[in-house]
Amino acid sequence: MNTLSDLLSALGTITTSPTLLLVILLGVILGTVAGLLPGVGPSTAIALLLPVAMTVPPELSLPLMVSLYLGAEYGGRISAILLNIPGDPGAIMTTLDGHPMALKGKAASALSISALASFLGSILAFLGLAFIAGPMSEMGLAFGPAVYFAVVVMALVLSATLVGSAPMLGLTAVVIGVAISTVGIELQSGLPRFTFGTFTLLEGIDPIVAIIGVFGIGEILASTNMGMNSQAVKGLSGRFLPTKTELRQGTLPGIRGSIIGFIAGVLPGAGTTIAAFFSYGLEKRLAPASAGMGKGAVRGLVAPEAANNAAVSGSMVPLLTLGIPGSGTTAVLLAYLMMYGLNPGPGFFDANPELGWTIVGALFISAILGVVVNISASSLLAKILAIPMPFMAPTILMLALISCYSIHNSATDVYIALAFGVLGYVMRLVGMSPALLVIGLVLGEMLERNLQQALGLSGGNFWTMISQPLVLLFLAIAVLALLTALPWKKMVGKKTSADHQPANERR
Amino acid sequence: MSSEAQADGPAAVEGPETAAEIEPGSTAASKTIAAVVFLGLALFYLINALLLPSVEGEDGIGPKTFPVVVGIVLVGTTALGLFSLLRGKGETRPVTGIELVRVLTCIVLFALFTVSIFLIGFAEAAAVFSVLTTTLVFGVRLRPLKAVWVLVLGLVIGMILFLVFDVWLNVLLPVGWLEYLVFGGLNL
Repeated sequence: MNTLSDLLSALGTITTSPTLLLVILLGVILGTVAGLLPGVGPSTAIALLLPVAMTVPPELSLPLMVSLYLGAEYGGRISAILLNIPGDPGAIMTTLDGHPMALKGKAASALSISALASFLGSILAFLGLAFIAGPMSEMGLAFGPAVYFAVVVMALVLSATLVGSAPMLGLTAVVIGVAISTVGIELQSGLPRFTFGTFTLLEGIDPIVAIIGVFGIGEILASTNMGMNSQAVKGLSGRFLPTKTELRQGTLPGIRGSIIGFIAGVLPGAGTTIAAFFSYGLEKRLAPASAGMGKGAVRGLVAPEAANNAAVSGSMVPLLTLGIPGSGTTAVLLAYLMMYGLNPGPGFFDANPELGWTIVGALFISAILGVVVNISASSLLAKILAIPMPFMAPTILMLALISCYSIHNSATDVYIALAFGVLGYVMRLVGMSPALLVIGLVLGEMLERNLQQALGLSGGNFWTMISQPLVLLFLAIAVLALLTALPWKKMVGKKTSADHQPANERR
Repeated sequence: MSSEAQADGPAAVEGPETAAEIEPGSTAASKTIAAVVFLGLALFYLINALLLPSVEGEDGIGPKTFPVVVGIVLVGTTALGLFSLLRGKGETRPVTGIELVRVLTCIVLFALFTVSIFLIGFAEAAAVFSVLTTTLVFGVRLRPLKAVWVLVLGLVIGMILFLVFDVWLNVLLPVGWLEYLVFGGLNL
């Protein structure tokens, strides 16, 4: 595989195709709007694009979706800076220094600096993606079903323990997803499972329906206490273009944030939130007290913004080369790729070189268009924030209905999505990430299929199956992540410390 | 839609009394709801997995083993997850009675919206759904004139969505009298 020539060829195709350029621009604009609106986010927006995906070829819909994903990371920072409400989870750390900058009267400057940081992160991570995707895809070809089973187990456990507020709740969400993936006809025996005599469930639960439910409907149900003034926007103030000093202050943190973001993106489950969290943490450690971290420091704004955009490209690496989603949004993308019968994973770039490199190239073009759109239309984008949730919600629910209905032209899918919406709402009540359910759902089928194939190859002997070095390595990582997450560790620690306490203190 | 509402200001559209303003929320209620839903789901799944027929395949596991293992793990992780919730782990969001009523209203309205698109057409149902969601779910008090505005704008959004998805993208949506008049029914 000649990476450079394939990449240049894809970039050439995109830049000479007005349709593709328009599609990517549309994706960036839709993504920026979805990202800046708290409660919408890239996963919901991509899920709601289902009718579009069903009517246009993947050569157009997939660039649209990846550009929307990157655009959302650009957009998320706008509400984080202006309202102190992150538009998407990846922008949580942006609030820490972005909003204080806005309060100091430097809102416009904060928006332009963060847009440039997002651009830097996107471009550096794009280079990483372009040059790591090929070798990683070839490495993936060497994986047998047993190794794949172990990789999926590792991805599920890492996702569960890294995302959300409590690891055990994360594990529950992932296992619920895996459980839902078993609904429908079992492929080897042809027996129906959990269908309860209905024909609708024979094909299983469409991941897209579940995604629209937990993200789209669930988010609206969780927003019912948001009032008219929930999104009151502050005006843009201050000088727009960053000063030379601000650019100098932001350069190194931007590069560091991009590298951390890319690595975090490649890790299954880590995604944009962890990327921004780690990069901000590093800057806080490196910054002198005079830097004023948390009080509107440029480095505190630049690092997480570069990181969350870099994580987008990073998360494409495991998706395209191993078929493993690196984030909730890539889990949605995986569902779409499977819907098209494209089977991302080892061999994806060999089987679909043009499409694969077009997706990678679309990220590069999106990064450029993203910075142009976000800098030139800052004021306009800020005004969109003035739409209150009570008026936004009906439109989102209408789109959710159309998206579900369009799958089989049946209302049953809408009711299934509504049930998932209720589940998504309950998950949000206790801080469970709905993205984990989606990751479990899309990987569940892969988990069972690889387990069956691996056991078939090892004569049904589980111990023979897991005795391969790579299998042991991936399972060991999963077990280690699990051990650090289990509550017993803290209970034992508490008991031990209690044992060491003097008797009079214990009374 | 919103800009219109915003332009008229608070005189025309009164903000909802948010749940938090009316009564303090309870994290215990959130935890109870989560416990009932997740534990119920886990046990339901495990029981049904155990009831699956035992047919052994070439791999030695058959269609029953994997769901049974998943069911056992699900019950285990759910129990541990709820245990960690009780120990104060996780970011539990307080929930109020009013919020639960609003959520329930939203669920019922969405289900009725789905039924009504087949009875009166997509755009017409969308218009009614918009007004009802804004007022009943989000508690926005609209004056009669403003309510008509929201109804009309809901209809316009419904028509735009119909145009984009039905006419342009060929997602066949139920046709009402207005869609029939404007777009010529199913002939498009």
